[in-house]
Amino acid sequence: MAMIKKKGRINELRLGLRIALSKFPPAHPFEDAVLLFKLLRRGKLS
Amino acid sequence: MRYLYYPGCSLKGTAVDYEESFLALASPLGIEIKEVEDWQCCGASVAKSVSKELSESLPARTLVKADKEEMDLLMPCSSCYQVHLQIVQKAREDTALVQRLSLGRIPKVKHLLEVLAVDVGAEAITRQVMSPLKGIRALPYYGCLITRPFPLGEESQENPKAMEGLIEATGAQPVSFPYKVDCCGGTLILSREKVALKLCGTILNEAKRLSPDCIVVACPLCHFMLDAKQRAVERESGEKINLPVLYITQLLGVALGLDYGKLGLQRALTSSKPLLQRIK
Repeated sequence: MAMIKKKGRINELRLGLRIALSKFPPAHPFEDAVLLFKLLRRGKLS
Repeated sequence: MRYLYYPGCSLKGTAVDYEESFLALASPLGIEIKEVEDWQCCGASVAKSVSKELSESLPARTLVKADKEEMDLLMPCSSCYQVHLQIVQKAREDTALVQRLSLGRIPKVKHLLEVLAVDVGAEAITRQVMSPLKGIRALPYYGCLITRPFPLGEESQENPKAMEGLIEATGAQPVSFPYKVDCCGGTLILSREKVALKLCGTILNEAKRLSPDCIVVACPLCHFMLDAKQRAVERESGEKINLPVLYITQLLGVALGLDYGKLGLQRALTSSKPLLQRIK
């Protein structure tokens, strides 16, 4: 098994946002936005 | 006790409070750690759906690093833990893989919960307790990934007791919870939100019926679901839950008298203030 060369860091937030955006429109846009804001305020999104 | 610490993506993001509380706790408990240099995502459940080679290469890279450092791996994230255990299992069964990775030995992979419960031990923790959590009813929730498909050390897969022992060590009372190894739905939250919220709702509503003061977890995904998605579950079920969710490291840190700020308790979405005021 050849080791795959690292090209960049995979980021869970970017992956999550990509999936969320692909499921447009979101089921609960307002609640999701509030949650995102709360997570940002608490320093939980890198 | 010396370990090579693999944080994984969650502990640098949505579970930053898990990392903060673990790092605050490590030194008092005699856990010496070195972070894996230039670590990468383990691929979790996502990489498998993209490429088998990628899903094996990612954790294999970490095993190679641990072998070079001659240290065993410590993982606080249950998903990272299972992914790495799978490649360890494969390496044990496939000597060709060990040769391809040029492994001198197959490093051990330990979950933080196992390190706390077995390597450190409840007795050693009890000796360090400065603020006993007398009268606090803590409900342990393991989730599905800590005990399945691989058991946590010598623990039963259906009825693990590691967390109960740690809760007792703090002076708190563990609440018996029949749903403690059920899935919280975390891995489905983006693809099947309704199913995920239903699974999470069952855990939260059944927990609420037992009237605990808090839920205690050792998995970043479980914490996110039970804490951050608690409002969404309340909205779906129409019932108020309002249960604080603490990482086991935060509960132990509180009992050890560590600074609440260093334990990341202010980062939770469901406030643990009323609980902390009772302890003070």
